[in-house]
Amino acid sequence: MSAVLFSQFYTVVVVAVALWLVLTKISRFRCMARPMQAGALVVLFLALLLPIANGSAGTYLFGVIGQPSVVVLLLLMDSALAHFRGRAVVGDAERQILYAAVAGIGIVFYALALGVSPFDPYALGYRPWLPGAVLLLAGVLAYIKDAPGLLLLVAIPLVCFALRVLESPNLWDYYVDPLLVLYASVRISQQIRSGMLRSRPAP
Amino acid sequence: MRPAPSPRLIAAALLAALGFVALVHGLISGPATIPGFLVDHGRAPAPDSASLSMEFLCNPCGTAQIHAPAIAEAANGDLVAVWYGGSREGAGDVALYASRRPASGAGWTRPQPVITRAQAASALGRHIKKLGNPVIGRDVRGRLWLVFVSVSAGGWSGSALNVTFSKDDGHTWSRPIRLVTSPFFNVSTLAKGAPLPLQDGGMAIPVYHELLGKFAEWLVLDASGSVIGKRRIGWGRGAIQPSAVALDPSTVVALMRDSADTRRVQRAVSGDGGRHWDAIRPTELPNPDAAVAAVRVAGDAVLLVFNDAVEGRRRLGLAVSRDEGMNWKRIHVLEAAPDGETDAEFSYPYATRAANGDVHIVYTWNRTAVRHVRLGAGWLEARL
Repeated sequence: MSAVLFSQFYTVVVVAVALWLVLTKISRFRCMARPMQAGALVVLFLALLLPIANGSAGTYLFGVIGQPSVVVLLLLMDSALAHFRGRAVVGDAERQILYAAVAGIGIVFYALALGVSPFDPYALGYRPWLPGAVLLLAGVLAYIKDAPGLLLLVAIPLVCFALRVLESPNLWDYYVDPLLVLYASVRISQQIRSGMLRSRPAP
Repeated sequence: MRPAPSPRLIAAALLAALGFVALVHGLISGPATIPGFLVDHGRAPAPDSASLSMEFLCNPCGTAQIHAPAIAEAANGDLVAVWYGGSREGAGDVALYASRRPASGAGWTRPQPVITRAQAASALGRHIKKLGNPVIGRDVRGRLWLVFVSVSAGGWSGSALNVTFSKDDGHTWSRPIRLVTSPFFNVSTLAKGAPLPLQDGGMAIPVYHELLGKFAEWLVLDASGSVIGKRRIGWGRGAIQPSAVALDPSTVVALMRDSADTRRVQRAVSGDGGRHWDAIRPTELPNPDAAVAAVRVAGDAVLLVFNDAVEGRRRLGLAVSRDEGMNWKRIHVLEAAPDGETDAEFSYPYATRAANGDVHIVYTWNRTAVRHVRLGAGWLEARL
């Protein structure tokens, strides 16, 4: 398989799994037999590759969003597996920590990347000693705090970067992307709002 | 007594250690520093070097509109020019075209498409809405590099860069590869200035960003075309479209288009190969928010091709600087439309210096033709 085709398939897999997870929120879909639910994922994947108008939905998505981060792929796959297994590798508490970190860092990161200051953190990702050291510390912390899910989310993208699995030669692209930051921001703001509602005294 | 770590945790820790080792290996096996610029001091000038010549490279050029021509001297001495053309800027039928003038001195060949939108989409495996600015240069191994802009969605602020190589002086080109230069869906990096060859076979490319912020940047690629470094020349909303000149292996001067309404050509200098840049400052030369082109000439002087006005692109001139772009002397007017011709446009110049010291300039002529100017080495020297 050519590198370009692999890159395109990667994006299609991510989008297919994301769409499939949306379907699992529908009760009628959840009532279907497990093999049929799994088959729906395959159908979604193939549908995204169907040729339409000199390309496919997959080529259009690949052109517009590029390749999502490895962290996004891992989270989606974990959620998909959890649907069948009943439990996720990355626990709820770990996801909360991850979303808070991604939202907080991501908003600042993208603002800087779009030129609000002379400092460009994205440039560090091409010779990533500093981000790599920070990630190693995060991995050590995850190990000490017995957070295996977070440890895997630190380690696997690092290995993928070393193997150049994605098109990008920049370490940041293996950990963060705009869709992840957006999703994390929405989840955190939902949690903050629900926390505020719970803390209001009853009328 | 603390319980033993779970097998899963151990596996994860091993994976982390493996990843770290791989990361370190990847870093230490790569280049430790940005290599120096290849600064060519040329060979003996041609017999007719005391002259200036102007011609249409093509007119018409086979398409309703053309824009953003670029030119380079191939290893065999041929001149290769590329530009984008189609029914209009940004149309789906826009393709990259090329023409060649053999070293023997014969005329320019008929323009031929080099990369079409469909070919780019197929090669890159993704939807391509339109093609844009190409830039071309030759590396230390004699390969031609063609870096071009493509857009998959939206306007020019949604641009990404791609690179293709030619090992046969521009006759055939390799499959384009995407350059990943930005974290925001990899959009909004464009190129206008000529790439600068590095001593290790890579290239430094002056580029710019246009989404929300508008600023110039510096991209470093290794010999395989992979991005290995990026530096910010400016930030916020200021100067864009840098055209860079290497004066020695580590000193580079960037002259830029002004998009912040100062109406002056902007300048920045780096003394360490582009790792760090001095603050951008305006020069004395006017700029009507239009592209400029800079090239090194004899005596380490800098020649600038620019629209010599604060409004419009109806006048195109030449100026030289002998002090890294701080002070300038106007030496010639290439084009000057009469006052009544308000629609005239002479824009987007691109310059390259040949091995014999001649400077070749191409620019957009009224969006319908490519103009080629040759400045003989002797002609230039008499005006420095």
